[in-house]
Amino acid sequence: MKKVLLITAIMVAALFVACGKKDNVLVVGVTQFEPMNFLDANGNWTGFDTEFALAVGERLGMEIQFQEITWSQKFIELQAGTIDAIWNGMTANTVDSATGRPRHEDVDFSYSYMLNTQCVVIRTDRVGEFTSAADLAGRTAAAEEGSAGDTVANEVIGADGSFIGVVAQIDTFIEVKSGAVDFAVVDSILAHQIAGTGDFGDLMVAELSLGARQEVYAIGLPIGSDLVEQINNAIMELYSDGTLRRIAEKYGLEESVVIGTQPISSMH
Amino acid sequence: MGLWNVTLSLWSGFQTTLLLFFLTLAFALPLGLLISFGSMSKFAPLRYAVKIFVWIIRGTPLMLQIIIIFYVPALFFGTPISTRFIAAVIAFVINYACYFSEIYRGGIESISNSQFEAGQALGMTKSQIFFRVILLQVIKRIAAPMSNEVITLVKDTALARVIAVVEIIRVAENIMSGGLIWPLFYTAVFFLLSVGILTLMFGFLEKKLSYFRA
Amino acid sequence: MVALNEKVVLEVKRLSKKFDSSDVLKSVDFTLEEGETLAIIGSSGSGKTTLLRCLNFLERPDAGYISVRGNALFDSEDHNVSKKDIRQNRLHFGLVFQSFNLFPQYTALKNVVLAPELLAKERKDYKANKKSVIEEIRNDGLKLLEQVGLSERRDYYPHQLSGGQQQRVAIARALALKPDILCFDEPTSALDPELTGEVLKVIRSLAATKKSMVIVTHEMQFARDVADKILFMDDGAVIEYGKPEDVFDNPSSDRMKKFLERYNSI
Repeated sequence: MKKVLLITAIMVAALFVACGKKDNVLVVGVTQFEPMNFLDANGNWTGFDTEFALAVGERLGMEIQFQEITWSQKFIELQAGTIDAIWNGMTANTVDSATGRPRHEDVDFSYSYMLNTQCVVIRTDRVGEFTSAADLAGRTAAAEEGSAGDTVANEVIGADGSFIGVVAQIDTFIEVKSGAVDFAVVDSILAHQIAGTGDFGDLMVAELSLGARQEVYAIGLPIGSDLVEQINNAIMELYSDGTLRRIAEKYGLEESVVIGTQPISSMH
Repeated sequence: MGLWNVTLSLWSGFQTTLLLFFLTLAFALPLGLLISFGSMSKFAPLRYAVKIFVWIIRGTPLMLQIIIIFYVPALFFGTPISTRFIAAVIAFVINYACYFSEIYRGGIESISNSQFEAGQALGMTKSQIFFRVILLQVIKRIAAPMSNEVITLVKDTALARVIAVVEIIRVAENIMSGGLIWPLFYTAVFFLLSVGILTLMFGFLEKKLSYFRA
Repeated sequence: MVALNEKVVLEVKRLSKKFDSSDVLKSVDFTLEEGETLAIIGSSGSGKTTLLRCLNFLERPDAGYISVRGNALFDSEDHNVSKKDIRQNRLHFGLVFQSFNLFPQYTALKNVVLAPELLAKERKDYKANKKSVIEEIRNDGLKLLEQVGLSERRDYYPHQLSGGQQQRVAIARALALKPDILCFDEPTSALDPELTGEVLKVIRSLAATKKSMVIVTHEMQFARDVADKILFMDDGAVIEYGKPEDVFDNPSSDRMKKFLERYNSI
């Protein structure tokens, strides 16, 4: 009896040994999002944002650690300090559908570094059903919960449509492929990478103008973080010396890389 | 990615699944016993405290408990738990210990009081009576409900991905990002094999204990 | 306190016990001399089983005094005595239950040797002499099984034994700790009639070896044959206490007479 008590006490105590956080490490919260962050054949993180973050870390003399997160919990993760930055092709100038607020109210953004739009993904055999943006109204749409696509999808389906929020952008492709939804709204950068490849070969990006304004990607940091300025300086240096362009070319994104220095709050 | 490479990738995720499974069992089995003693305690405040605790844990979703245990220490006390995996282990241990404790309690209370008294009359101590007389009879009686819980645990491990613990389903979802869907369905094979082995083991245990009647 | 009579092995005085508000034992007194057999008789609910359970400290008496060989085990008027280790007290008594209560997961032999083995572990010299101690306990156990006529069944599990055999194992088990007094709680009540004989025979043989015993029983003929003293209880009180021939043939109380009439009419 006493032995059981003792053993249990030791085991429980062992569980709660918390390690202190190392200095000079920047924990970057990411999800699998090709071509921004994804795992290569050896299970190592790669992608545009991955290499971008590593380059910035080198400039700042900081070690970069990638931590996979669940996208809808990104702000909780940042607040809790379980990650130090959200750096995963995050659209900056949008209302977050999880919080209902513009994202810049929950994080401080770096300079924006990439242009993006939301686009519609459909099954190729149903292309005839979608000839204009008006055909989207009243349909069933999927998007990642809490993403920019979530906000746009809800706008285009209107009051008669129904919305399916999924955990990851990639899940929307299965929704479309299986016919569970009529279309998905995802980042065009991802959509062009995935639709038409592998098991998603029967999907395509619909050529519809959503009338959505230009979106920009930026790095999300905790409110009041003194890292914002350091990271901004590093971004400008990497842009000036051509590093950023070289990385973008590896992933076919050179046309999307545009540095924006104006405050995100002024873009709404 | 061919079958072999997918299998290897999924196996790496399944190692996390198995580690979570075995750690949960290793800690929750004894902790559940302690909780069951608490819920049978003659000291009323302890008994009620334990019963309320068990009610809270059994009355809320495990997924919510995982989220709370990982985020709350960091959000409100500024002391994040060292890793997501440990947070998941803590949540699973607490949750399963409570379920185990109720199974233990049912098993212990089903043993006739006369077995306790026979031990007492022979001058045995409380712990001698428990470990030498009662426990094996309890194990025999609870083997079936325990096998249920343990099999459920294998599959519940998939919930850990809510805090981004990269277990097998999460790995399959990541592979899906590369345009392959079937690996997600293929994960079922790993679970089926594990549950099959567990079923055989519990069958073996029940057979082992069939030499006596209790 | 020194016992007046050196031959007294068990002394019980003013033993009282209440359950809720009903008196189950009302100031019970009796003594047992070395080698004597005491049979406690009475109708169900008269308190005889409670008396036996108090002796074995399975129930705590509310008041009274119990001593074994002049050594007080319980004294409601002396705090120092009340603090005594109940476990140690129990070792003075062996108890055979109505429903045997053998441990189902152990063989007949293991049932007998388990408690002595556990007790031996508390001895300081246990580790040094482990092998010989265990061997000795095993030999004692085998002898006890032989004494109750079950040598060949030593490796059987309880469910493989008949009720009468189980009860004989239980008697061997109770004897294994060499108690000062062996107690029986209606040892044949749970048995089919044709199986009571073998158990009574074992108890008779124990009486013949002058083992001090207290037997709660419904078997009047057996009580009369084997007991040195009879204690008749009714409604928690001792009504008759004396030699069998006096109690059975010349009862002084109406209650005993009525009890015997009812018994004989069955």
